[in-house]
Amino acid sequence: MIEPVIDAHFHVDEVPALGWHMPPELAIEQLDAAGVQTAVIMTITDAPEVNPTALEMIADVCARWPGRFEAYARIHPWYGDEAERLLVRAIRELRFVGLKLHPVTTIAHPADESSLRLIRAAARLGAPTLIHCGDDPFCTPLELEQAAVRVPEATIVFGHMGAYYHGQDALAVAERCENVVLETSACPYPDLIGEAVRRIGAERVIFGSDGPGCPPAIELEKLRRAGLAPAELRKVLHDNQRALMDRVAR
Amino acid sequence: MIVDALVYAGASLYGGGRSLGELLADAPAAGLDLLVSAPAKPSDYDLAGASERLAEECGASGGRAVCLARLDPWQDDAAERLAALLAHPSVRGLLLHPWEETFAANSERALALAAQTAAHGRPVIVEAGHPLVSEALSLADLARRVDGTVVMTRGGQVSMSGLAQQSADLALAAAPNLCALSAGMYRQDWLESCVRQFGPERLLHGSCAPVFDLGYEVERVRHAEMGDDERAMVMGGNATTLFGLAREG
Repeated sequence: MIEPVIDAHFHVDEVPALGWHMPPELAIEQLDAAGVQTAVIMTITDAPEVNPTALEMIADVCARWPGRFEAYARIHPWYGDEAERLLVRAIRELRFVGLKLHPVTTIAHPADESSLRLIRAAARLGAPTLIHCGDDPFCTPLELEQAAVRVPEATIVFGHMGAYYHGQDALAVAERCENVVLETSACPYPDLIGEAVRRIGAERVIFGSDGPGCPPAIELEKLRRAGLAPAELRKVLHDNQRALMDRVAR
Repeated sequence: MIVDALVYAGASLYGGGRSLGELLADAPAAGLDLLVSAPAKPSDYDLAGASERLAEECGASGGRAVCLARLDPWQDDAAERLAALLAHPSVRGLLLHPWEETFAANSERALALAAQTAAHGRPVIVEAGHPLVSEALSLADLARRVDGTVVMTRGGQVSMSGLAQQSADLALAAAPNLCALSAGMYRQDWLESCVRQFGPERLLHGSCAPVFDLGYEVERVRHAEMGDDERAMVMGGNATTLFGLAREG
């Protein structure tokens, strides 16, 4: 496997209600086992609710392991001015590199004005927005496309690239919308990743694991089976995410 | 012996597909010794006919494949066709696909075929986790009413948000005769927690290839954290017992 690797989707959080235990030490353990130097971490829970201290917790983890973690701010769009202030603070003061939206946990449609406001704010700071993209309501590629066309200046990353049943929709949307990037985490189809690179180019496909539930070692194995050329792999595994992070006005 | 407890053989009505010969050709590279196959839904909708042809192919595979009878509970002759298929030495169970045949997994028609299969001492594998027709707790409801083993594909989960995980756990807790296949559910660590919570005898490696990748799904089980003895059960020991594969010689 080509080094170095950036894992663009990793979770650190504690969610007792779901039985999900995701300490940073587990992240380091899994990243080391997979030979991954850097991961972009985010919570499962959203700020300011249900987790008012989510951003500070993630910032603290980044500070404790310098060079191992970058961060996305997972923010609940319903909170209007407060939500936007949190995002700006996360990027400007806490040095986060992007916004994460999960419309299932927030019941916020990606094209609702509350979500668009955050996506626009992220774009003004040069930061990408990672959105959960799968089979669930509010999360399908065609729903996310409604946000992508309304905020063409934003880079919108489709996490999971359509999950189990919406992979082809994700590729079709990415073909139509040049501001859409596909992220590979938990997508169970190695062939679909190869097809994505052929159809939209290696510059718009990014490796992510969705660890620790989906450890980077097995997620990297999927990339090995995707039939990519070495130059394509380097972009997917590292260069594309590096470029996204370098554009952020921190 | 490493066993894939479910692959789909033949061209699918919904596009794509791999023949049993193609799947068997790929099996050694994936480290697989034996495939438990079921027919993909054929373009003529004749599931029983496809099952009969697949049984003949498996019989000629030199002990490298067995199969499941796939039937549509809505068809009035399903019980009769199932009885004939279960008499074939290569047929080792029943596959129900509520998503593609459009029925509720815990419906009376599905239950009748499942009970008939169990009466022959054979397991029932059900495509699970699909909304409306085969959620994990529907599988538990079916399993509670069947005197035999019921196996749910995809860990009973089709949700990349993890929303189906708790119900899958509740289903396995509620029905001791319910097992899960390893491919197609969100979160690799669910495989590990399944073994920890319910025991290694409740999980079987099954790729559902070519829906999922034959070789990659083997790696998923190999990467999961569990003991060597547990992994041996998941990778083939459980399937050997459940499908009577020792008889393959």
